[in-house]
Amino acid sequence: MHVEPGALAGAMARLAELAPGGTVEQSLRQVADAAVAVFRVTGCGLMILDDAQVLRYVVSTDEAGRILETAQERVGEGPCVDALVLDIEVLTGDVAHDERWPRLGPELEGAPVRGVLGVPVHLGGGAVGSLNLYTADSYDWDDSDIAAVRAFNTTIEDVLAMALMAQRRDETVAQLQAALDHRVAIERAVGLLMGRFDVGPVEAFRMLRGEARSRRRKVHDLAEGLLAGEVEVPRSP
Amino acid sequence: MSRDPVPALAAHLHRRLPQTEDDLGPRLSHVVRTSAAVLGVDGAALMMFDRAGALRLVGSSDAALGMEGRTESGLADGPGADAVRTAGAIGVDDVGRSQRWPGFAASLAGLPVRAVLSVPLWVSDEVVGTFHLVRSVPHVWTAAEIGSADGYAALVAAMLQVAVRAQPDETALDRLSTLLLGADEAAPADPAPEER
Repeated sequence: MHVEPGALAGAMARLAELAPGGTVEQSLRQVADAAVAVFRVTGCGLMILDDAQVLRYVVSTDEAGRILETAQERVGEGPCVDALVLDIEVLTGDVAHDERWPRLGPELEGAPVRGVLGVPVHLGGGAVGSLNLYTADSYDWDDSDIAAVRAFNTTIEDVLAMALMAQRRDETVAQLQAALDHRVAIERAVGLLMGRFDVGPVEAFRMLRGEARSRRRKVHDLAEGLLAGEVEVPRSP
Repeated sequence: MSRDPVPALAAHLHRRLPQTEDDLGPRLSHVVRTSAAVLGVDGAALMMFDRAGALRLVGSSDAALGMEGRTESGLADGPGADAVRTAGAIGVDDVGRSQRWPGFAASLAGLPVRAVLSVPLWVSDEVVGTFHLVRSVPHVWTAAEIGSADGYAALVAAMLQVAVRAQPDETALDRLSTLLLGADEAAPADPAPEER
């Protein structure tokens, strides 16, 4: 595809005025909703590997989808687990009676979940989770279904990567903001001590730091306390 | 929709993300291009409003048929404009036989574009653009295909929405860095070693 950078920049500028932007969770929910609409299935869910390499339920479009995801999380088996472990599409026409997952069937009793298609979700070159489409009735997935879902699945990495990048940027901004906030308080406290004890900035900061250490407090906490008149910093010997 | 909060998972996934800055262009290109394989069409195009309120062609797949310059005004005045006006899908089964938008049909003369489906692109309850699917042969768009196109447009919108946060024009990051740099110059040496 050809992208027109100028048109894209203009469109993004307008969007920035209109929308605050999505979080990772919001984005994954939108992906799941889109999958249901595109493939006209009953529901959809996403599972993601956690730090301990355990597949965790993240999002579902409805209650039946949540039951399917959490049941697999609980028993550690099912089409979504296999899709991730084997890194291939895994399908079943009737998940509740599929002999490959004998512990999963009883967990799904009463839930309107039958046909399931699980596909691995990739990020940074490896599988990090699985997308799971399901139908309320038994369903025979055909090659065209699998090809289409496989293609769709490649776009999830695009959305997920962009969402994570946005989150990373937000966190960096928050850290910088905190540093800036603290710095201002520290600078003001140093100025206060300079005036109070007729010392230079280095000596004033040494006093502030020494008192913070002796009180086992962070410098910025003590600085804010000093500015609020809640604590005193004595002249250093 | 039900879900459990899983912030730790996102933290975990960050380690899988390349440290280099990502670029919206290639990722958006991939999402739009992939629509052909997902939806079984020959090509796709994405148009969005700019700040002046003009509908601009942001990108189109190769198979949508080198129609950049020729189609922008055609789509914007034809089914794209109607998709925006009606806030709904507009299907053209055979561009060559359609009398509805003569200018649009003329702009596509000679191109392998016969059927077009235009759906609105929604962000925050507002139409921000249009998503177009193209077939090179006449085709009657079914309700199911229109539903799928709407769903895929929602995926494109999700991508754009999160990109807004990832790539703002003038980021808070830049402003804060500037402020901190200024603070550096005024601050005493080694201002906050305690924080380490």
